[in-house]
Amino acid sequence: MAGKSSEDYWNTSSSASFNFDDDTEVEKAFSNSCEIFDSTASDSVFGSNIEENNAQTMLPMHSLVTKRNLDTVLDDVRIPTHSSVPLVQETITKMFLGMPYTLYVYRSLDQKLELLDEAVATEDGNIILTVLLYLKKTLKLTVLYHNLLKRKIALEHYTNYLMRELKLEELADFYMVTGNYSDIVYLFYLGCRGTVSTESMHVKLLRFLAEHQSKLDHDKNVMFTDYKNFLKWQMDSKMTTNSVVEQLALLYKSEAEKKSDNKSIMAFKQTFKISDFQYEWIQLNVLGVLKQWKKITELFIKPNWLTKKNSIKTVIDVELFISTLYKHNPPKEIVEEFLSCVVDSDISIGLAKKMKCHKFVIDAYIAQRDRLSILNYKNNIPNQSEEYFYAENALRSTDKKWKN
Amino acid sequence: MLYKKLTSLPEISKAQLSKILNHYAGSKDLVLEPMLIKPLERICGVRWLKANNVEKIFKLEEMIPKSDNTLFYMIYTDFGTFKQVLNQIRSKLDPENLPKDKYHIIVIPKLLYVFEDTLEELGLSGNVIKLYSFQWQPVHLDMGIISLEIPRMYKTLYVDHDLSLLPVFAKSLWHLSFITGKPKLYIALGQHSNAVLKHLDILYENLADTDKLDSDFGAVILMDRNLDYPSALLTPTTYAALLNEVYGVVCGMCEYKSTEGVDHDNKFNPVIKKEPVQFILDSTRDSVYRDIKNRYFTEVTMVLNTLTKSLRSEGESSKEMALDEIKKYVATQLQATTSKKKFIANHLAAAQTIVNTLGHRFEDQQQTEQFLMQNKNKSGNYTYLEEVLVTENDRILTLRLMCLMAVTQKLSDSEMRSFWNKFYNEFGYSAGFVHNNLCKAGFLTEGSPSTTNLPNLPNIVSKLPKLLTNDFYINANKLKQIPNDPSKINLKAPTCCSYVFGGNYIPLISQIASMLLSNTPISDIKIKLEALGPLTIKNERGYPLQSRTLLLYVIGGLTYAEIAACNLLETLTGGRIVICSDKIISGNDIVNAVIDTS
Repeated sequence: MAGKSSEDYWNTSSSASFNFDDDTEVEKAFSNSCEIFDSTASDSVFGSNIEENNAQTMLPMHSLVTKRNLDTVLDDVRIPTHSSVPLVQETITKMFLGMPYTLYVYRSLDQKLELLDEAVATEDGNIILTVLLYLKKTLKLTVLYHNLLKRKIALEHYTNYLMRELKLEELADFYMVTGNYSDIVYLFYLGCRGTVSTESMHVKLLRFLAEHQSKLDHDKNVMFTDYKNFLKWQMDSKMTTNSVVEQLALLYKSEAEKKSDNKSIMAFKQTFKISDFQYEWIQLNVLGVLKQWKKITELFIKPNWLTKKNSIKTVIDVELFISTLYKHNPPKEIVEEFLSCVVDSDISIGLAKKMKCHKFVIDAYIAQRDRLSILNYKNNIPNQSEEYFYAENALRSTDKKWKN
Repeated sequence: MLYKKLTSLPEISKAQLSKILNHYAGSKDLVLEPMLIKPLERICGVRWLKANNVEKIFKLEEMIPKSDNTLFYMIYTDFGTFKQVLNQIRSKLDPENLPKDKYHIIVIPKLLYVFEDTLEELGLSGNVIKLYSFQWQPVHLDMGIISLEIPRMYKTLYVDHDLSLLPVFAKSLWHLSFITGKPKLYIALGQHSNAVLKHLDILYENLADTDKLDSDFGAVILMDRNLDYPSALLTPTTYAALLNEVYGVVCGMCEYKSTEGVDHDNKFNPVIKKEPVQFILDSTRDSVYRDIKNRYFTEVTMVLNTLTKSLRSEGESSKEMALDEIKKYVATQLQATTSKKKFIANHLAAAQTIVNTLGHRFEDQQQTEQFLMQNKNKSGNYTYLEEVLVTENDRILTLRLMCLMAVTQKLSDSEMRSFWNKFYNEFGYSAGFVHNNLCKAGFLTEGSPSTTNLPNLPNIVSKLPKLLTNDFYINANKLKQIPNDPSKINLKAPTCCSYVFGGNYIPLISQIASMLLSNTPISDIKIKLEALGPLTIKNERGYPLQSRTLLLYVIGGLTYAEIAACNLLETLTGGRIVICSDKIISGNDIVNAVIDTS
């Protein structure tokens, strides 16, 4: 309308809305726009002819008001226009380039969703979140959620936003609405950030389970139940450690120091499904730190009365076991005792060399009647040491039948 | 010339920063997020800052620094840090009498809308707190290695799927083209890399184009980190890569101060001590490092020993010198000898620490990784994983191996269940969300029955990278990344890039570069790469290459092993490679991103 000059307008007063003489036009106009007027009904709520009857007494428009003033009044009539809104694509490009823009001109849902889709298409998270926050401010959450369901990237940016802002209640609702039950675990872990005491952790976990347990899958259910049991155990025993195995290590250490039996520890091991490997590993290291070498041999060496050849009794790989024991700096006899239990002499000799158990190496070669290997190995033994002479003696002795 | 250009990039960063700092004319103090210090030292240094009216420099801590000067905060784009800064500024503000022009926050690399929004909500927009966005130029860490030095990029892009910082990559390429020109050929592999090309187009269409007529680079290759996880997760065997594994290298700096260590950890495992070291991984400053950085590790100690001996003989001969000879020696040689001695001492200490830290399991680990690459010994590999889980008492290391298995041989449901059970036992239930993060990052699929309850999240499986199917072996073999017989690979005088992983695997990025440098027909390249992820090849008339210099850009972090492979490729083909990323990482950084709670 603004484009038309007022002069033109005035002269073309046949314009439908101003042709007050034409009744049918008026009828059409009303019936199109609303249903309260029905021309066939005699008692219509909008049927009085007061205005029409007054028509003859009315002044013609031109004597009533000047063109200029009528224009002013008409300009005040608001008609929805689309032309004044910049293209969504242009706005998004401006956002990408960091130029001034405004989102508040986009008011219809269609425009907002177009904005969102274009934002997602840019693959620029800053733009996506900017649009999402505008939508959040100007749409009901249910409408927003409904439209996020079909837009995975936007949905993830919105979730990240809720997580970062720690809006946990809204996040919980959001997971429910979107049916994303597998991520419910985040609610718990975000909620217990900074929680130190076992008691309040336990309370938080119980609260979380009461609300969400039914939505958790089997594995997560098992994990949280184990967690709950462990927290309960810690509260009852007034202990605080970060994990079951760390707890086991402490328990085992205090038992070993007291030299008491480990019945309660075996119960602990069973309750918390600790594997034999995990258990023996802790035993080995705790006793190593405590230098309880005798206990280690008692636990891990199984005597065989029949063959007189003892064996190592552990689920840990033998090489790994002995080299770990060695890291605790045990006396040489202890290492050699274990080495002598190894069935494969290649392995035991290899280990013995690494651990500088010279006497063991020499004896092993003597048993193999391998004179050359002793001769070679002698170079690795410090001169004038006890083991050096031991090697010399072995080589000098005449009662041995060498194979080389 | 190209290296000189790259070394001069800080000049542009300085001009950018100076524009920001001089927005406020008076003298000012800087408050730096600690992680920014090292990169900033490389970019401008203290003297330059002082020349730009900076009086004092503080580290960002809990409390606001005691100073009456105008404060310029510098932080990385991170909402948590931003809030911390806001809180400490607000603690000093008098709401009735808000100061003007006293507080400024520079956000690196990109200021986000939420920051402005938060500031506005608090009523601090305008003159009270001013926000700046500063994307500096990449830092030239070593010959042909440039890095944006932006932390957490892997986590935001691949774990959180947050695309806020993705436009940074296109902008860096756009800036770089003003200095090195615009190459004719672009190859983008992976979802994010493709987005970078799209962003780059928007920049060139709407803003300035480069004034340089010729390009230093024949091609730019962009690749997403998640298309080649093995290159990050496998244990590398070259010196520089192992330094990053054992010490952690920050902005090309290897630093470790000796601490009063304990003898054993929380589960009574003996603790291996690390030797203190301090040096910069830069071949141009350290000739010893230049010699050993890409060597197969067992060679390093040998080279260092030889160098020590030759230095000693030089010292011996100086004893027999006449006085004027000695004078000359002191004036010219001695300085060099002294600094060389220092370099050697540092590298010997570092090499020793690498042996001590990794030695006890190096062979088993290599063997297992070889099995994984060859797709052999599945149950044995799992047994090794469970052993590492218990014996190393290191959740990063454990998860790293598990992730490597997940993207190659994969674990069965029962193995997975048993693993997590033991994992929670060892490291606590506080890691209960890690499984979800691993799913988000694409290492694992939602294996539980509840997946079927997700009708509202369509395509979640089909959109994950193809690594999740057995395609890893098919693709890797198609690209000839896995040598048939690793034992035949020469590790000491390498002729195959797989030496960086003990002969087990060739990094994808160097394999792509190798195809380009050896003029493989573009249609062949297309066929081979298409299977890995979204692929764009732009302006094919740039091929065969007009300049045998490539810019390789990895989105989400690059490893020293990949760099070593590219360096070898340069020697083998006579081509030149500049390799760029947001950060130099190791597999540990990938795992850290997954278990990080922030």
